[in-house]
Amino acid sequence: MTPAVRRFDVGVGLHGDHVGGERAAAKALLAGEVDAACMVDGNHLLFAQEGTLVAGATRVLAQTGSYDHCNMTALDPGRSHTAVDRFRRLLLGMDYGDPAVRPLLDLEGLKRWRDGRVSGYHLLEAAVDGSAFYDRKGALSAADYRP
Amino acid sequence: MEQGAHLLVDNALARLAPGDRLTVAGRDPHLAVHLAGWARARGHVLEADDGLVLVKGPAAGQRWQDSVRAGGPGADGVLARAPVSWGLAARGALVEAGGPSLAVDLTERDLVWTDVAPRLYAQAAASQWDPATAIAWNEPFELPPEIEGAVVQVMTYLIENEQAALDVPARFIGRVHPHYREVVQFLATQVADEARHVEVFTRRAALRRRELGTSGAGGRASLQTLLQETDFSLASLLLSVLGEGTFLSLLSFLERHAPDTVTRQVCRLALQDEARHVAYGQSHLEHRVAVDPSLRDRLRSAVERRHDALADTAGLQTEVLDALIVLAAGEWSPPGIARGFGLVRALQADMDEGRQRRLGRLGFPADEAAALSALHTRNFM
Repeated sequence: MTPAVRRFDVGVGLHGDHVGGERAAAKALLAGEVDAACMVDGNHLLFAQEGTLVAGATRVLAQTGSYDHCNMTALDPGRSHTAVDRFRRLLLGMDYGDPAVRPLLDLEGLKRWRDGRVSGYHLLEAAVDGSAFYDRKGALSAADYRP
Repeated sequence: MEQGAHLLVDNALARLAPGDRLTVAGRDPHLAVHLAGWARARGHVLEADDGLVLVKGPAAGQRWQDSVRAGGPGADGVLARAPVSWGLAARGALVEAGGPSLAVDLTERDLVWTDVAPRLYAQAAASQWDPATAIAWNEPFELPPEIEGAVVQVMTYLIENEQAALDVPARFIGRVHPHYREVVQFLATQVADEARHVEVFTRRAALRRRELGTSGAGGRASLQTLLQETDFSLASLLLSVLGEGTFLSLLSFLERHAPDTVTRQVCRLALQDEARHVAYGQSHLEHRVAVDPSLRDRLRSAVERRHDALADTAGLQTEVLDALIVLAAGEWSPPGIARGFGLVRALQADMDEGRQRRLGRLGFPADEAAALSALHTRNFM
């Protein structure tokens, strides 16, 4: 039997990752509406600390390897290489010791930006393909998606 | 980690330098999962090859590298200048760089300070009284209609004056840097004092009559000039030293000559508070004149400017002056009125003498103090 996937789409794709969807998943888990919920490790801790999850009442079934939660992707870098390069240098130049940019890094949950990586996403890719979220051309194909 | 273990880890990391390693052990089956998420959010690296080993990141140090200690908590920790970038931070706190700047302009000690500010604030805090219980409101008394009318008129006059004395410090509270905490605290007690005065004078005015007395345009014009003074020290001179200083004589006069216990009590309590306000204004100006003698020229100009602004107004309305005479007379008879008249003349001389004495303490020569005192508003406050 193929397990059914229930998505908790809260602000997905609008302003980056959003903790709200994972919190809704955790609540559904606690209410017995779902058998398991996906969330990042830090949110499992956060939900237990804030009381959304009862401490010790859940267990971690499986973990993926690490991958970067936020990537800046330029669609046609050849066309505006200078701008892309400047953007990259500006991001990498953000210093947590600088009080002017520290609040921005804090908002993003970062201490510094790192060079882009495309490794570590294979499980995520397989899951997205397996649930037919995008079609082969990369267009959204999930009919019930409400960002 | 679900029950606060991050504090234990943080505490151990605090003693290490960036790049140092810390081995973490525990029995919670989620320890590795949670420690990884927690460490990543704080910029530490978790090495999980053989046990859980945290490599301390530089973020905590970076956050505080440009921080500044904002003086010290006691009066000896007051600094000459307080940057607006410290915002609302407590005096003595370690202040992280960044954050919004505070919109205050009184950011130098000498612009607001006096060494007795902490003591005067403590005194003020200890001297707050409850209008409901401090005054014998139910004490029976019956005054002749003319005398009661005079008391009501004087109370009506006092209320608008105390309202001005409430507004002036209230406007400055938001302009003083909170680093000068005792000044802000003192001003807050001053506002609270005046709020009580407005209450008790109103209550006495309405104790036997449904209607209050009159409010003259000239008196209100005089009070308006107090509200318009935007310089803290000049406002201290006009309101606290000259205005409330003059009121010490007035309230003392009323405490002595008022015809009923309630009026005497409200005036006595207000007098105690006003004496503190005068002490603050006087000592602040003595402090400022000591560090900047040229301030005297500006003080003199402020008195002259206010006098010029009021030159075409009536000042104290006739009804108030007459009411003081009748109140002091205590009876509606020619000898009584004559006695009251004499007492009010003596009161005005006493007010003038007090102003000259206070101006003298600010370093004005006797003849100049006398001239400046004579320019003070006829409205007393």
